[in-house]
Amino acid sequence: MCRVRGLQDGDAQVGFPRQLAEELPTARCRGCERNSPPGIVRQNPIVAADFMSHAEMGTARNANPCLRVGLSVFRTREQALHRWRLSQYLGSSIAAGELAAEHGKLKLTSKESGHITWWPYANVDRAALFTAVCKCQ
Amino acid sequence: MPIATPTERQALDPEVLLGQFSVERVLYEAEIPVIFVMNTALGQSLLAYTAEELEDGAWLVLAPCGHAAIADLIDGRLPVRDALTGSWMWLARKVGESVTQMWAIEPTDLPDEHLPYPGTMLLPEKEPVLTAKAIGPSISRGTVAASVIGFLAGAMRAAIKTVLDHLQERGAVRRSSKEIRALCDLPVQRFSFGSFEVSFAAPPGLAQDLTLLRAVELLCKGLAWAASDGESPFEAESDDGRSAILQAVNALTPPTVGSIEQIVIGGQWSRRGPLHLDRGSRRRVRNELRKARTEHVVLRKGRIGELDRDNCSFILRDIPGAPDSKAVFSEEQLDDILDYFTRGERVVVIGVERNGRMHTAAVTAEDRSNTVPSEG
Repeated sequence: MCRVRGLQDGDAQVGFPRQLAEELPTARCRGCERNSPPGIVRQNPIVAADFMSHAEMGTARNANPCLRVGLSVFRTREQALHRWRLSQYLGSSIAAGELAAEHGKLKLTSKESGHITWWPYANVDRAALFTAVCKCQ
Repeated sequence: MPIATPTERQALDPEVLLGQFSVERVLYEAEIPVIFVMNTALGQSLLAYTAEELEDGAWLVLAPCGHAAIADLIDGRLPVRDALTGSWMWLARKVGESVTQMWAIEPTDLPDEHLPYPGTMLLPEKEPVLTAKAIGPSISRGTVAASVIGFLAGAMRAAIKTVLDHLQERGAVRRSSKEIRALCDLPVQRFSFGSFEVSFAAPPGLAQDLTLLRAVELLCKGLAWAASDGESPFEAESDDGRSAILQAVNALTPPTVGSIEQIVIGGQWSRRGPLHLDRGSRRRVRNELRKARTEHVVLRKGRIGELDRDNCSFILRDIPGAPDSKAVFSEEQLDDILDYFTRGERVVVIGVERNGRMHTAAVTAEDRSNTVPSEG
């Protein structure tokens, strides 16, 4: 069990992937507003594997359990590109997409870096929401 | 390529050197703390960088980092890679919340993608808006001629000013000379030696200035064309615009002679990525400029009857056999022109007439000049 500021009580019971529901029982977070948060993807064209959380991949076992079940996106293309510049091994392209309330919950987890954690609902085709917009360089 | 255990390097005792692993201060975090400060067992500051996340922990790169260096990182004066590789480095294997193994390493022991991209600053807003790098066989640390430094700094300013002046002349913007100066004279964020690079920041309070962003966008459009291998002509909204942008681009191409053989333009505002300009680019630009020559050299004699200091322009009157003529000049010429205006002296003005306006190249008193019939 863990507590993260963000999601409303009850959100975990409605529509999140089961693992997310187990990990995030209590938190508050705003719903997705229409925006285009970019993220780093390994390849172009984008595949589903580009949108798997650490929990789904079995990695970062010691990370914050709430953040571990989310996906990393950023407020702006420049912030996503900057993240890549700091850790080039993460991928090769920047993808952007538009997220709305039906796509899950978002929380700004770092104001300085612009990092947003996205907890998508279970029925969301995550990769389909994004398009590669530029190569990292 | 993942990071491999550096078995050939000297292994260190993390318990002795680090003691209890503890994050003192997070400098940059995304999904995890990526860059942070921690201490050695003796309380000395270390800069820590998460080089690779693993299933059970991470590879960390640790390097010494004092308070001044941390301040430089935060203020955008020191790239992260330089902070990590500027002195000795440790590679630490973190499992859970403990460092279990550690080695003394060199930067070459790490795959390049597991260090920050060269020149990357700690925070996204501290990334330079524009960079200009000069490359040439004689340009290296300790041998960069002053002319190279002067060229890069001056060329960027001149290029942006040329586009801003064009937007002003078209009526697309209405800014005073002082404002134009502030927009085109970008602050230098840092110099980088090796091949020499100047990193520019946005003018204070003007990072979102629409006029400046528009001018840079047009400039970068021209730079991208000049850097490309294509044969297509350069397209712009108007002939004047085409000419202005090409002239701005020309200022940023390597001169035909000298130590600079290539110039690379980058930065946040260069949204097309790094643009590589060589002497071929310069030839391409000059050939394109020649195709639509709309300017010619003029010489006029008269009296400076009106002077606008804010917009660096004057009206030349009493020109024999010709109507009054408006001319613009550079700030460097202001002192001389102000003298002639104040004394009411007759002058000889030589310049280039472009789109109905004379751009002053030289001004001298008429009675001191070699007498040449007035032209134009």
